[in-house]
Amino acid sequence: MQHALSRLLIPTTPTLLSILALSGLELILRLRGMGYDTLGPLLLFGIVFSSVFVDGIQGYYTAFGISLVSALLASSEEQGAVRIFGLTTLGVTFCIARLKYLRYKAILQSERAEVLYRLSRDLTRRNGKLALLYSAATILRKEVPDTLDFYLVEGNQILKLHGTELKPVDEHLRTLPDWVCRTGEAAGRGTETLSGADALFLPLGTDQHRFGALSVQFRDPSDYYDQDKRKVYETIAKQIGEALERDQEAVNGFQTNLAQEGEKLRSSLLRSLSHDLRTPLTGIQGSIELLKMKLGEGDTPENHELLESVSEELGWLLRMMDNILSLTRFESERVILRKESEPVEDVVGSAVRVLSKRLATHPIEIRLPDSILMVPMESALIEQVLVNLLDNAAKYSDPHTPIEIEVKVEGDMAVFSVSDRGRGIALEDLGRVFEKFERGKPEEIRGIRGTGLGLSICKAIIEAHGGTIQAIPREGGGTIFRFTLPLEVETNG
Amino acid sequence: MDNAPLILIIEDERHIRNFLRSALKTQSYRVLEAEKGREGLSLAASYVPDVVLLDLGLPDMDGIEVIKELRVWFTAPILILSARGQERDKIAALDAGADDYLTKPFGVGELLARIRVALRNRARREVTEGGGTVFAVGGLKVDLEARRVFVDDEEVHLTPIEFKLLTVLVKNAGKVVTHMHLLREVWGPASVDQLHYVRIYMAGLRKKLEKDPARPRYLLTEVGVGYRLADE
Repeated sequence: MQHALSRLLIPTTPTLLSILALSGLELILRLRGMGYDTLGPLLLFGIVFSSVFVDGIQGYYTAFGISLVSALLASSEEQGAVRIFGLTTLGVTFCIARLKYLRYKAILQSERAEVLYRLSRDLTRRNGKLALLYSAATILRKEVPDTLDFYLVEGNQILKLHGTELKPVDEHLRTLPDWVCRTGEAAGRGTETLSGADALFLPLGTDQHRFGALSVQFRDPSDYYDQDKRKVYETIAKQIGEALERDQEAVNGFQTNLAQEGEKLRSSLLRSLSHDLRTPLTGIQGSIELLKMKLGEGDTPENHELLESVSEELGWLLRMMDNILSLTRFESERVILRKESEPVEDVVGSAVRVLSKRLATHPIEIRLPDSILMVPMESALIEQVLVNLLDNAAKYSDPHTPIEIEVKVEGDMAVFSVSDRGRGIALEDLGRVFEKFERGKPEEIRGIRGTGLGLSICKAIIEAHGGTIQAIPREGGGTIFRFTLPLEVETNG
Repeated sequence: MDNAPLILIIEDERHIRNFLRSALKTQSYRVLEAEKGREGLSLAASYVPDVVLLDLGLPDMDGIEVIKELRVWFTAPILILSARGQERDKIAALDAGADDYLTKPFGVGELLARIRVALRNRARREVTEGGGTVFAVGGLKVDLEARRVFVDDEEVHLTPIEFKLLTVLVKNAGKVVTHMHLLREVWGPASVDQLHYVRIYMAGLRKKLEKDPARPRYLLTEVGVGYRLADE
């Protein structure tokens, strides 16, 4: 209710000022007419001064008081007009005073909010150490007559507790807290070490971990040599130290936990993301196909082309998603392969079938051993490797140049190779192509889209199978991607 | 129109349902839709569709459960819609009684082909239960009664096991058949840990039937799941 009223009572400042000026002027003129030559300007000055220059709640009272007097004076003259102006001024002043009061309250509140915000921010940033020190300081300062200060040593920094904040201390004040924290022994006034200091410094921490120092300035100087009093502070410092240590352990545990949880979350997120993405993409792909069927032959070639490029982009998106999915699997878990003995022609054939649309413009030559070659593998993954290599070959070579797939046996290894007649890879880049997000030189890849993930996933998959993968420049131009897979299943599992 | 096959879609994604419906309407199939497993089960019970298209990831119940509950009384084909990389789910669904699957994303052509296969298998099952058939696709001809196989009119000689394998595939032509299914049918239930037999004999069969075994025309590999005999 009060709030609503105060809102009603506060017009904007310019309006207020003009009302004030006009009514003030009017008042002066009227009062002059009545012989009050000095009272008018004085009143006006008082009102303006109090409402503009007196800060906070006092401004409210002052302005209110002055305008009340002016109204009373005016009314005692029994001059209707002057009374009205006096009352107007009273109202205006009231408004201004109220405005000032509200602003004052808002500032107060925002300052408090700021303090709270800073405290919570620091609390999280300092992992709770600040909170511990702050509450210890608040409690102790209430209970003991001596002056206490708290220091934290963090790496090279020495921080001192000021209110709710930790601030780095000046260079010349570093020595004592630093020494105390490093050695774990008391120093400063009343001790053998640096006894010229103005306070006693005690280590803040346990026998295992020290976090900083507690300094004590006794109110009674003779207390510096009172061993019982020092003992009390030593116990306090140790207790705070224990709390700090528990906090540290909790934080460490939390962070390890967080890392593990984060990893789990990340992979499950990516997995469900890829599922959630695939579903709408299926809808899109299907709708495009239906559109194509509906457009029929009669439509403009441009429209067909547009649809064609949409579906090509879709294909790219889907392949990328498969790669991201595999990458998360290989990065987030200790990968356990589900290996089975598979005939190589099965995977080769399947990979070629998956990419048949994309490979349509390239003659594909496949050379397999005459006898059936069984290789232990997780077939879906090896298929993915072949899909990536074939996709790459198609991407980086001109249409109608052949792409060759060969599988043969060398010793106890099956050797797969995918060769193209593309632009090849520069010698100095050959070693790097399998690194994540590595994609050749910018001028070489212009207009060709990739994630730079494909080959790094191939490498991860092949190495998980106990094989190797390499890129070899091909005689007469082009590149050979060659990978090996062991023919025997390792018996040690 | 009323005799057109009735297809029940159980899929929670509206856009996929839209696409499926439009695609199925092009063939004048009648379409029923359910968003949830329960709803799908009760629709199936009231309308007895000719084919069920079932998404494995439903909000209210596991797709495998839906299959199991359906299969208590429902004999018509169930096609699974699932994502790549879920080979185990596919196998589990097929073991639970699903007839085939479509891997997202799939095209209209693929969808309609699978539905045709499903409807045809149903017809074939009803008409020729136990009766002799000659199966023919492209240049491949399999006479199940006479136990003779021809490729481009040339007879191919198969070993008894190869012929048995081919028979299982012919009986399920167009449908995926899991490695485990083939193993059980051909070698018997005792040999379940000999999965590589299936692959070796399939490779041998392919060498005899296919011109280019790395790019098969008839015996298609479904990586990680099983094999499919092309029937179109």
